[in-house]
Amino acid sequence: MRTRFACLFIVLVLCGSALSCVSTGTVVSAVQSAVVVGQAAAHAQEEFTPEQEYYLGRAVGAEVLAVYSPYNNVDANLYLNQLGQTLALFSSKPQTFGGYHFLILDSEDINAFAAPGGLIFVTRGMIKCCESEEALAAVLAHEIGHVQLEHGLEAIESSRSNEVFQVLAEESLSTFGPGELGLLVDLFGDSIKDITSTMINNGYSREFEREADKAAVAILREAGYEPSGLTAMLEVMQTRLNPQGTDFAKTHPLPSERIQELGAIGVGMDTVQPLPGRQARYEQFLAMVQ
Amino acid sequence: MRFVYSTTILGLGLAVILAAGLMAPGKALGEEAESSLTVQVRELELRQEASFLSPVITVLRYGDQVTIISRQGEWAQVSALFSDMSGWAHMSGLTEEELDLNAGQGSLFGGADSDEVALAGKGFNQAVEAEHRSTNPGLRYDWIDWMEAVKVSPEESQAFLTFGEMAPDQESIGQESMGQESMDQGGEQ
Repeated sequence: MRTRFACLFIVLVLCGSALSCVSTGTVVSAVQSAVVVGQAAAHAQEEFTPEQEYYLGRAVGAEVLAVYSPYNNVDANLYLNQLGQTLALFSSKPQTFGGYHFLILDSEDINAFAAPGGLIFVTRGMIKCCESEEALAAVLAHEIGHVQLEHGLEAIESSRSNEVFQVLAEESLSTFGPGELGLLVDLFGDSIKDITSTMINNGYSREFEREADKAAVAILREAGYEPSGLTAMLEVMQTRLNPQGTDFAKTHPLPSERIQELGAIGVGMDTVQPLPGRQARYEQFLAMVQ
Repeated sequence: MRFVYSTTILGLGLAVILAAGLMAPGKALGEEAESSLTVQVRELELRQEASFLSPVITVLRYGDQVTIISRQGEWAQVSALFSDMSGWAHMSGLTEEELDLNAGQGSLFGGADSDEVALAGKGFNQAVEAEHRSTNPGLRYDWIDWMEAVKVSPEESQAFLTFGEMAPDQESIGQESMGQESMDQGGEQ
């Protein structure tokens, strides 16, 4: 469908050019211009494949782990993955090239990151804002939302993406020489910088955060969790965030604003009443990350 | 002058014909190509039933091709080409696009392991990652590899849901979440 519209774009440019033409030479020139413009439009509409998204995500994750140390507790990370990977089954993108995987970061910062392709990181500080499994499920579902909506890939500057697609369109990788491969490696590195600087330093747009919250609510409901776990977590976070901090306080809208927006989609401040067995396993997990 | 007008009219005519052809209702997404799809994830599990919690029959690899036998929401009952195996796969692991695989990789069905096959993809791939790693030795790919090794099986997910007294609709697992765009649901039911 996209290709069809790209071709249509060329045709429309041709039509416009033909209408204003007064000589055959001008027609030829207009055709050439239209083809060039059309090729650029076609590149702009291409997308990264799941495999490319996977390799971008691995590199972004490796950057995150160059800043934050992993929390080296196998049992705690296993529980996080049981919760996270089970939740991911209920997302609109339940499969990615390499699958969803979760890791605890050994930091008191309140933060969480989702790298393209499904690598998701949560700090101990963030986990401590979650008083129930529902609340932690909400944090993970929000991050899964960023993955399913491909917000990380959106952070790559469009001019850079276009350059990548142009390089790929021009040459088959099998015929790449060192120069072309080097160019691709440079573009890869620059794309990683685009994503990490958005994820770690600047944060996604308010619209993306709202979309991720909406996706989280859908995932939680499908999985059988009470979505008010998200508002419960935000209330606790509100009391702990340092407004001058470089973590969630810097990269996300205020918790109070998110709570208000969640209210608009029917997620209230109802108190979560965790079931005994569920809460017991959560408290066991919480004890491992204190 | 007459020649110029003729050329212009001819150009316009061609453009209009082309535009009409492009705007004409085409085949719905996958109407034709849906019978043969390609695996676009590293590993695609074929299951006994259309649910992520159903037992796995076999695992297909990136680049493997399948034909569709029937559809059920976001799931397709597929048969793997070049083998007798069939089962249910979630559509998110399949693509109608032809994967642009690198020449010289040999047959994808010749026993290449998943890493070798992954290398075959065009663009940002294992070769590009290797170059990136060599120039950025401080990156912690070791922990990324550790993360990826943690896989929760369908049985573990089922046990997690059961112990947590969560009662999701089994048929909703792997279906579109509420509020998400619905996919074309053509094909046999």
